[in-house]
Amino acid sequence: MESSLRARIRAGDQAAFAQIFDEDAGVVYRHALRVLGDRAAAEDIVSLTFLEAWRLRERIRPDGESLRPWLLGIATNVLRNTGRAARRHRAALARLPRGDALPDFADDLVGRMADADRLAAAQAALGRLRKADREVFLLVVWSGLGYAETAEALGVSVGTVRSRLSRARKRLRELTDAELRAQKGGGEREPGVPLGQLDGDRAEAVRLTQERYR
Amino acid sequence: MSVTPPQGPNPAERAELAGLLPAPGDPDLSGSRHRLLKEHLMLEIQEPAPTRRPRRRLAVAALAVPLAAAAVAGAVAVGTDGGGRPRPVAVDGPAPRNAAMLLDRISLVAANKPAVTVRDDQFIYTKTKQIYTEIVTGRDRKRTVTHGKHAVREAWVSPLPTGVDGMMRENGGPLDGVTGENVYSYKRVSAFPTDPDAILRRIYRERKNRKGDDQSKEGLAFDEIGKLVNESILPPGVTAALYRAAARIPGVVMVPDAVDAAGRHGVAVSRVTGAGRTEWIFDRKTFAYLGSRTVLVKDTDEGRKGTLIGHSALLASGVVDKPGQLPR
Repeated sequence: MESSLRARIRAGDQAAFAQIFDEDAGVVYRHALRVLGDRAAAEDIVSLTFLEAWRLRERIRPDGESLRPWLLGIATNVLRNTGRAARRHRAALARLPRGDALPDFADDLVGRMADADRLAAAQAALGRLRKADREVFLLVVWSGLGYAETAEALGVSVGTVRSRLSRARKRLRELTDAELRAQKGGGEREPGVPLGQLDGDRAEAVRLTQERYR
Repeated sequence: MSVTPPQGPNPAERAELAGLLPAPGDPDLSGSRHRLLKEHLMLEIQEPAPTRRPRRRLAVAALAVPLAAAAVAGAVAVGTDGGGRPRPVAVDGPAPRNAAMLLDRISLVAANKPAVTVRDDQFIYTKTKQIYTEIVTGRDRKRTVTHGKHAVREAWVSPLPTGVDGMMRENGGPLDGVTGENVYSYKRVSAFPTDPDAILRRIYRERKNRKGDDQSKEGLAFDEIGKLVNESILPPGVTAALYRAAARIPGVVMVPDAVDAAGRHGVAVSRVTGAGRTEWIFDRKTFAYLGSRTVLVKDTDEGRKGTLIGHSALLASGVVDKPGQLPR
């Protein structure tokens, strides 16, 4: 079934494309939200990822299973350089319906606030990793891809995926240990320090005007 | 390219890894946002209605043949000295005093330029400097408007509207692929009629049908002609006709002194388009296109009245065999 879905999307079948949007938009959204910590920006990444996927559909390999690794690979690229993707799809992005900032229900609001706290904490922790290691960690641990799928998504070898993951693990353990030592010794720890590394790629949705769009 | 079955950490390993970080929660895309984003995507990837396009193409083809013939005859009588050499008259006359005179001069010069041949397998290179306005929607949906962002952009574009990928790069960075339909392709635009009235009728007709634009058809036509001709390599007859068509748009005025994004001074034609006023700037002596400049004429969410929202300069253009190559 998947292989025929691949063939249909390669051939420009919009219904098939709608199907992968239904199946995987949520996965791409969660991935982007965990990187960015912002719902509106994550929605923009979803749109840009699928616009890019449609643009690049002819490059889908005819064989293979789920298209999810391919989509998450595109999402990763879009997150790396949101500005470029936004310029490419400037006109489409300008027509994107903006979200309503208000949640529908009060219950939901409480849930969202807890979500937001958790997200912020997770995002700060992720910021302690090198970018390449972080990407692998996100795809393997939080989006549930296998090594080979992650390798496909990032265009690297399985060995690279494994070594980046083990480096991420080592680094996170070191940080946890250091934190424990600091707590025992009563040493001072700057609060919320390690966000810095994320600053460079806190890829907010970028809108450009006055650019020629070809 | 691996065909091994997907392997990853086993559930215990995954749990251990996940435990090294605070849990991110599992926030989902709401059903209504999912539907809206999907609707938007499906509209964006929509091909134009298949029943209309062939008809439009036929109408244009029928128009183009007799008009092209007429234009060639006209060019011989007006533009050359009989030996096929360009006449210098067009450049040397008195300084234009209004937009119509200026565009007349610009189109005469364009008509007398030697034609550049572009083979289907070649690429059209353009290098531009752009100063633009960036609107960033950040956290809390706050929009930040940054004026004066700079980029030197190089593009290699196929003359064909579809089927061949182009390339671009910014500020000398890595080459990046560009795919998708190019509505301003050489192939399409070079087949335009060379009668300015026919061009204008066609552009008015096409621009009127655009959804979501909130400006006059004249303003839209001025913008569209700018996109079609200013930075483009086109057959001389088409370039000339496009500038003549622009001269027929009501509300186009001459600006005696204007500066492009590279700091070069020239003379400009200008029109209000939407909330802005756009100038196309030309060299005062050679009447070659230099660049453009757009200033807001009313307060909008992009900025206050008087803000420069777009500025460009055409630094180089030419025809090359492969993306990444520079013209000689």
